[in-house]
Amino acid sequence: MQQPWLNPPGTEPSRRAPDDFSPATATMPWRGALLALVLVWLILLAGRSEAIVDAAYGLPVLPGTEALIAVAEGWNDALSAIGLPQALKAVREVLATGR
Amino acid sequence: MLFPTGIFALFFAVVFLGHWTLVRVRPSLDRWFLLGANLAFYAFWSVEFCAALIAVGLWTWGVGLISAKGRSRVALWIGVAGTLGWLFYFKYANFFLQEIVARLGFPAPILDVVLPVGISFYCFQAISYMVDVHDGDAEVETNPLNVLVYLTFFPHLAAGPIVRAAHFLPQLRVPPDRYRIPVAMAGILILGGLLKKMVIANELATGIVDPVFRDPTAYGAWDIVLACYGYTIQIFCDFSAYSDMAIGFAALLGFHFPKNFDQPFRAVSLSEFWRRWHISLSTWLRDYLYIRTLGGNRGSEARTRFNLMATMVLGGIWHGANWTFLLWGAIHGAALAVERALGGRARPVGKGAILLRWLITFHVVMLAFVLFRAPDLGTVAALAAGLVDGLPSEAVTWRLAALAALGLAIHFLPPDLRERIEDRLRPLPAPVLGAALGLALLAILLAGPEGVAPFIYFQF
Repeated sequence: MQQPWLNPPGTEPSRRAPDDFSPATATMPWRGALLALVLVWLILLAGRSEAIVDAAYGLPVLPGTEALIAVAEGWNDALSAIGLPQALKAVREVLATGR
Repeated sequence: MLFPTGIFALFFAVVFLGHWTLVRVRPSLDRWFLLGANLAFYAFWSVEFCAALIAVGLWTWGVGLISAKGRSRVALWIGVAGTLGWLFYFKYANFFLQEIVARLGFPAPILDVVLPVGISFYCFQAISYMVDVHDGDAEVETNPLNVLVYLTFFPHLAAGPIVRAAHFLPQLRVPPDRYRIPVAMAGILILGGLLKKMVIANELATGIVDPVFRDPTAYGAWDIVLACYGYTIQIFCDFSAYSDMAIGFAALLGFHFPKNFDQPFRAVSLSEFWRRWHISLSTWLRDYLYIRTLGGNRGSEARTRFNLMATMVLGGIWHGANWTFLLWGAIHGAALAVERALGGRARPVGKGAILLRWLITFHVVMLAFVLFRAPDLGTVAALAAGLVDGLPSEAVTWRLAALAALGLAIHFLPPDLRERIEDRLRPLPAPVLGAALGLALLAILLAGPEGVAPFIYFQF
């Protein structure tokens, strides 16, 4: 197989070239991959709620745009109520030290 | 559509779900779905050029059919010439008209030519397919859909890596294994790429490199020094980031791309540098230009040196019609020829010799990148003059210097660091792995400046 992670352990690479993947690379079924990626996306949605509101404001005026903006604002307001955007803003300021 | 953006995250979510669902329920439709996704990805830059992309794909497929296994050399030449003509029109038409036709006294209009994103990369892949199929190094593909998906596959479409047909097409002929997806390694590659692009490359670009190269006369010597070193680090962190992310996103869809960067700044010779830098292009130039077209090192020593110089100069001009790119290639060609003449390709023995050779190699690469980055030779002269004009250096900050040092330091981390991190992630259940990757992603986004600058190699 061209995908090294699909070859049995111990298979010699077909090309003598550096590669990050090998027969020893850890894999998981697509359901596990989907679950992992859903969590990544949820964390992104939570951590970037203010950017999502900004992006929603920049959408072209189409049917449904108002509803999207309302959802984005509602999501950001809910997170603001627990102080997440403010906390992340403080972290960003610390990480920007010296910029 | 840039990788580190919300719209790409949304796009990839749809592609990931659609692709793996089709692999499970209707594998025959999956390649059509992937082609649609590829064209949708490209349409974010230009809907018009999607048609051109399909035309190049069908041209490549047709030439492959006619010329397969040495059947028609004429068809191969026409196929390659047609593809190169397409590339040359977009990259060099105005340069040819203004620098040659106009100077000969003929009327030379300025054409309104917009360079399609990724044109070099898909043209190089098209050429490699036609040549490999003709020479019997790759199986001829009878289904045009497979050739179209190969050329347009969105992770490598805009800036590589250049994936050979013999490596990619067999992956398309059987559905990817939905039970074995390398999520942890793909995540490490994507996050590592994001860190290099968002935190190091973007900040070096906006903080020092772009301002100094825009107007060197306004900056002091240390600003210029940091901008020159900084650009060398920036271009590595920018370009290798794109490659790493492309490899990671392809892996999440079940496809393998070869590695494109292998800690290039730890090289102790120019020939080693080119075995580590943009590996897919350097091997493409080696296989199709240096060996097949010019004859490689099969002739006299003088001929070999000429071939090295010609390959690197053409590689330089490929980046654009500008004297600075030509000189960048010429410096590398000359350095490779000198290195060959001095027997410098052998690995040095002893710490002192290794350090000396590393210093020489790194600084040849760095000085050549100054030419690469400068918009014209006047800027290069202004940078050199700025080193001695005595202006105060006010743009240098400890943060920018630390970022440049970090970009260099990562070259000296253990080569198997990613595998070691993967070993740590291996026992984690999927939700914990997802949470760890998500939090790391958020931390990277918080550490970088707001906004995303386009990747440097999109312009080539």
